[in-house]
Amino acid sequence: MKIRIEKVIHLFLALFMIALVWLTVLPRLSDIPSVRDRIDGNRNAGVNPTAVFYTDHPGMADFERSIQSRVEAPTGWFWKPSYGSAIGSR
Amino acid sequence: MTSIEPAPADQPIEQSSTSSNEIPPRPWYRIEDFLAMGLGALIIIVAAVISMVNRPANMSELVQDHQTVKSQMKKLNPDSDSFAADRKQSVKQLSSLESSMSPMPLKSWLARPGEWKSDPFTAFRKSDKSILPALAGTFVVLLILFSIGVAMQGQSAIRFGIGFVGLFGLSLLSYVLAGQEVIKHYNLEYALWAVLLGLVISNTVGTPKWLSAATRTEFFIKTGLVLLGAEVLFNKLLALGLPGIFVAWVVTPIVLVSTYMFGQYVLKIPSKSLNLVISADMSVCGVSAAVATAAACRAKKEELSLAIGLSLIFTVIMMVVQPFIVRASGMGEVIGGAWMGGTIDSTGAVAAAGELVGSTAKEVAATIKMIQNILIGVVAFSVAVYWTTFVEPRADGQRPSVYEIWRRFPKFTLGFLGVSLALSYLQSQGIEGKSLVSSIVDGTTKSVREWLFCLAFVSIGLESNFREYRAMLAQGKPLILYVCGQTLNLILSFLMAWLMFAKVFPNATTELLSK
Repeated sequence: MKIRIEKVIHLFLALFMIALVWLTVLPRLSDIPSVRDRIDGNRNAGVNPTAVFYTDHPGMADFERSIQSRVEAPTGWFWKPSYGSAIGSR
Repeated sequence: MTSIEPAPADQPIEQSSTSSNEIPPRPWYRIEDFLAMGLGALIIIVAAVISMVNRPANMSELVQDHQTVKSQMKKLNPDSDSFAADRKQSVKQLSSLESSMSPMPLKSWLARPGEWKSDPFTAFRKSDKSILPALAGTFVVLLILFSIGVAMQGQSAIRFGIGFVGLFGLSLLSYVLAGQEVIKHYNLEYALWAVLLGLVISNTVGTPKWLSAATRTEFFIKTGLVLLGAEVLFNKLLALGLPGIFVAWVVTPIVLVSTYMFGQYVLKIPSKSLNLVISADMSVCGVSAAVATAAACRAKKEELSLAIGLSLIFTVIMMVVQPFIVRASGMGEVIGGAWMGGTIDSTGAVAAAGELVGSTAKEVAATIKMIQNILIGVVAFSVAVYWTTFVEPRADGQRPSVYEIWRRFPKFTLGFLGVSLALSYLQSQGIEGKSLVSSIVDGTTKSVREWLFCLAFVSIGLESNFREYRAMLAQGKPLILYVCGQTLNLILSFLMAWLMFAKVFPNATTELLSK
């Protein structure tokens, strides 16, 4: 089956649009202060927003250790169901 | 140049082992499900052997040090002023010891493009070093593995290899598009761009025959899911105690089943598989849950990509709006974190949203999401059982026999669950088992799985047609389903988080907030 010329033109138009957005529009968007703050905030906090599964996130093991140390803390407070005992005791 | 038209929409994700009425019987080793299990097992075994061979010479000392730090941590005096600082120090020491115990040389040979702002070529450098050799390594590993798989199925490995060059190139380009910093930090994941690139080709010039020889969506997805089993570790269930289980494991199935029933009986969505994939995607964990469910219930390729598209769009909205609500309502970092972790679809977006509230919110949210991620194995298996038993009727409309159920069953889900159980067991065998699992997953299987899913998404795009999406979106039913399901999820997750962290285990909140 031969490809019609207009289909090839459509393909190149689509690719041109992708290149235009990624090479000119998005780099400019990155410089908008609120967008920049978000990017820098994530970077400084070691957050990878594109992580799909928990193992894809680079800091996950550290989050897990930090939480675990509280759940298994020698105080045992994590598991204490009474509200009053915790208030003011630390 | 020759081309093929996009495949018809009724082509399912899963098709090999079950629709054998039309396909002559093949020996088991030629069946895709078994080949996917074999390739997955091969990758895991090779990674395990390499990890064992490269274990540090002072492993026993490291294990001893690890035990010492753990026992010192247990003896810390909670009343001491330095308690929090000492605990933090111990956690840091444990982290450092665990990373030295799990080296993996393969890691440097498996890579994907990184982040960039205006020059896409910077995506190919990490820490001032070119990642091109690592990308070449990834290409060679995948090419060899899947050429063997294709040859085992009795098809031409050479034709597959030629097409694979193009398919890998498109996957690479999807990663580059997803790596632009605005795209990345607003969580528009590679899956979206992979499908889009494929669609652009298939809906303009048509997918060339040489390229379509490599579009093995089902094979890539099934192998990727078997590898994903290595990351579904049941030992992590108690990471946040009972409150974590209640928020992640009680609310999620309720939302999944309620949303599915709403789609069936209220919205009357014509495709049960589309309904189920959207319900699982929205209630469990986005892309990975959608992939696992779609494969288990033989959803159409377009249904999977539509569900993922919906999930990504709502994730972007929720990761911006939810932190604002948490801060404005004063619900606090722990309840707010648990709420976001239980509702936002992907881990990265959960962590990013949590970070906008505070570090405790981020840790709680990501941990809840991790516990919810583990549910994916149970969901995929349950969906496969439900589908083969209750949804797919026999030709005479009767309930299928046990043999029939087994014949239709997507057997790769057994590989997925088997790998998950085996590695969960290994991880429970002390710090040595844990470090071995960590090196297998972080050093090898995770990277291969990501690439396989990306290759699958490009293949889906190359085999899809825009017209089918228009038909599925008619009357906006998938959108209504997602919005209603997510609303229920938001309400139930908040109620459960509040009940657990404010009423039943309020001391847990105090402990989590302690510095």
